[in-house]
Amino acid sequence: MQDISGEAMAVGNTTKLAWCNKYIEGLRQIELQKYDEITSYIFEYMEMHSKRTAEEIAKVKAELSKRGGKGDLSQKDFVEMLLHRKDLIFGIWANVQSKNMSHEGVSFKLNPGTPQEKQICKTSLPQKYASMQIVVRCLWTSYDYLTFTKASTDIVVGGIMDFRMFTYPEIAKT
Amino acid sequence: MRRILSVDERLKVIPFPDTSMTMVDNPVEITIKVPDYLFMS
Repeated sequence: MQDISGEAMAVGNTTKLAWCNKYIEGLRQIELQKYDEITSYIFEYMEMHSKRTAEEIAKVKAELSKRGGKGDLSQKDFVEMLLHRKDLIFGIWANVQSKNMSHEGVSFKLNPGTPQEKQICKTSLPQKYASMQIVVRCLWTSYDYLTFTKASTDIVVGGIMDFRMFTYPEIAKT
Repeated sequence: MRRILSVDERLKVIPFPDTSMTMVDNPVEITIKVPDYLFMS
């Protein structure tokens, strides 16, 4: 599509260019809709993502016995999911245990909790929501879907980064 | 029983607090590593 668009631009074929732009915009809207659908699906099964495995419980139990801490061991502190590609970052972060995040901020990491951990992007929560059960979604696209068809003298460089806060989903009762 | 909700029903966006109505003590920061192909001087 970009090749056709580039060719139309080169020869000044405005009709063809408008046709291309219409379809590019349409495809990008479908992509955004897909990201929402994926987010919704993750929310629907949030209890599965927030649950610790038997190994994780054993590890946390061993750590807590040293420090003498208590808490719900079956639930993770945070849900951290991230997909990182050359042209896309899609991440979900959830504060499962309502930990106070006033000073830490929200990090989107690859391989969290492992030696290969790598921070991709970071933000912080407004003070009001810093210790609430909340979900933050990070979405970065290398392309500009906001001002793409708008007449402007400015050009978006580096893509669009969208951080969004969501109400923690209602967990299904079994 | 799992309640199957539509995307709109499931995703409840929390708007960023209105900065004109409330004092923002700690502004929200964003850090991102830009791709290698993006040159900045």
